[in-house]
Amino acid sequence: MAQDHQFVLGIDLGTTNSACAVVQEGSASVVRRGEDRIIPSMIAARADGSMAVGLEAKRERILDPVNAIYSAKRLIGRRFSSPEVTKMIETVPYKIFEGRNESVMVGFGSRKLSAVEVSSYVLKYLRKMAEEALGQRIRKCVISVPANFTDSQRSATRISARLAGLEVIRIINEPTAAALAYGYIEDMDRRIAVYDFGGGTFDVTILEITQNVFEVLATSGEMFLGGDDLDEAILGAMIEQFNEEHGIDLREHPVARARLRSVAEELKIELSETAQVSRFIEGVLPDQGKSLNFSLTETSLRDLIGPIVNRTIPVCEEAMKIAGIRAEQIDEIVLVGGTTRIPIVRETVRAVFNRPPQTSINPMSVVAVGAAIQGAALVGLLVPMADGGVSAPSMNATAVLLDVTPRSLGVRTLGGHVDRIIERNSVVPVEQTRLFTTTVDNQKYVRIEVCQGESPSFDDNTKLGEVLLSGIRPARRGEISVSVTFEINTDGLLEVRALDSQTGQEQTATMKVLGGMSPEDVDAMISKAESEGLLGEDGHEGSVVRR
Amino acid sequence: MAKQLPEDFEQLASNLEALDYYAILRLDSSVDYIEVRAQFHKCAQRYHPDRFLGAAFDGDRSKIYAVYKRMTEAYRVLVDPELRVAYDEGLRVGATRLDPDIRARRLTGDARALTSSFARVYLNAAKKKFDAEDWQGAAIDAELGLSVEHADVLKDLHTEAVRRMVRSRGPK
Repeated sequence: MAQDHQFVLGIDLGTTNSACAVVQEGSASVVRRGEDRIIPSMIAARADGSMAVGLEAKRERILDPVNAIYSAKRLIGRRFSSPEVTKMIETVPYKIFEGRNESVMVGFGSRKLSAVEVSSYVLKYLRKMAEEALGQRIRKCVISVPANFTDSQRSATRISARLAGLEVIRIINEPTAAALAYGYIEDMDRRIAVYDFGGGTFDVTILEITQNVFEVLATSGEMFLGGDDLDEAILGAMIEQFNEEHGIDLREHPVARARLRSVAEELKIELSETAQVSRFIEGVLPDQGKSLNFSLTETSLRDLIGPIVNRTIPVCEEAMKIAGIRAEQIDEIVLVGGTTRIPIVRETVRAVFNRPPQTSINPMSVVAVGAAIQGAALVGLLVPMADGGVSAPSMNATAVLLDVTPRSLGVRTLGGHVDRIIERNSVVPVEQTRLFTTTVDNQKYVRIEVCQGESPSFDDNTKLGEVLLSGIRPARRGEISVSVTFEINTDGLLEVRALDSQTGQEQTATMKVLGGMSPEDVDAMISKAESEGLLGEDGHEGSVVRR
Repeated sequence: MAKQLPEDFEQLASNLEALDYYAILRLDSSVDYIEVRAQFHKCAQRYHPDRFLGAAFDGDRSKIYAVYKRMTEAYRVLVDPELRVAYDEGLRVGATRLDPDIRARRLTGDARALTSSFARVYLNAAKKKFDAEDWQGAAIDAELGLSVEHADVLKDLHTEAVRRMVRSRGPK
């Protein structure tokens, strides 16, 4: 192992599962621990005060669902009052609270954690896993996020990585990473549909690649549609059979349900390889010793999950409509997410886009592989081969990746509409400047509300936060105009600056990101993590962190 | 990753305010938009901040970023027919950058539905002609727009213009 080798970890921090990859000796490979390449994005607080991460946390969930935190990605960088968080509060067994600055906190044992901290534990676990596999400290990473992530979600993800002891050298859009893994970055112009069917979410993104410029033509999705719904459908069939045989409704027995649900997931995975599976589950209800002998064929699975898989069809059609293209105009289909391994799903994709999808790279690690390739390109390592021996033509030594802003940035107008400042699909970095004028005499402050999204009505977009201009010199109304510059940098992050346009004097512009953390909060969290030795060179084995 | 900055970098960085968009991208002012795009991509490969991530460039980081940012600004203006016309006008009286207010121009809802700036030009032209009741002119412009981008706003405008054109000719 070369001590001076600078690895960049490519990280796919998923809603349900996460994976990481590195480029080594010119080829990208997924980091494993034993047989595991994918870890559940989950942490759990044990009764003794210790913490479990990944697969262990998933096991803990069966015993104590209230203290197992999953799907933190749905919460990160969101405001407590957002509809997504409200929906989570209704559906998850763990507790969700409002923190400072409208942020989201979760109950974890006897304490509360921010969504950023939850993700940081998963990232730290991935980092340790890679360090064990590679035998050296990893400091840098490229981390992927959904194309439609807002500025606040991107910043929050970046802070998570910092807390996990990782420097983020680039935030990359997940579909872009998937396309990179397949080496679609030649001089040829192509349109690619990325069909991402994960554990909890479904997204389809249509990309156009022209000479290394990745343009997001459209991205659509369903926040709550994924492999979990398929497990639930299989679980439903198991519960029904148990009820017929024993006359007991398992819906009232959460522990038995949780156990059967994990069996349902196993059966679903096995059915991607074989035509029929069966399981004998002893002692479904421990105190009554009743058992279940459940079998499932591919045909019956089709009936169970077909209606759920079909819900992805209108989403794909919508994306094509937004992009203004027909299925024939798409050159390649890339599959992402474990759910796309199911044959029925592949058939559906084939029918919608009228061509077979690419399957040569494992859909569960394709995003991590792409992120690793981008990381290697950024630090100047070449990549002739992608994972699994697939010969994929990759970025040459000089190629840089030009991403565009997938969502427009705007500010609220008096009538509650949106004044667009930066249009979507602008090549980053991009800056635009607007003048804001005082409306009353001796006005001291100007408050500007900022959002991202395409709706003409401000409230239908994602509100990012507010820019507060302060220290304005006293003058009659309308005499002061402040020019405010909004800039989106190469990571898709927003920066705001302000100038008094008469005096040229710089004005204080504070961007308060709702649901986000103040720089002080972040610093406090990082120094706390440092004092606990979480970021250092320690050999601190495994995933257990004592309180 | 590059080992050193391109030799013309210093010249670009120190003259940034004096250079016009064509000079920054090293373009002749007569080039068409396909050439603008190709040349921007070439410049991006050469000057993108990602090419200079190493510690060796720490002192130049903000200059590297400023040069590239001006290139993206130049590109955005020069590939957009409307913005380019406005820019060329200002350049004649010595403005090397397009006025920020025009640069951050507000698009109408219909224009926002289009991705191609050329389709937008045809859409605006078609709408003007439509308002002036030049149905045939509007239909032709909408059709030209459709040849660039197949979008509903253009399709609807085209259908409506054709319908009115037929109706205005009256019953036989």
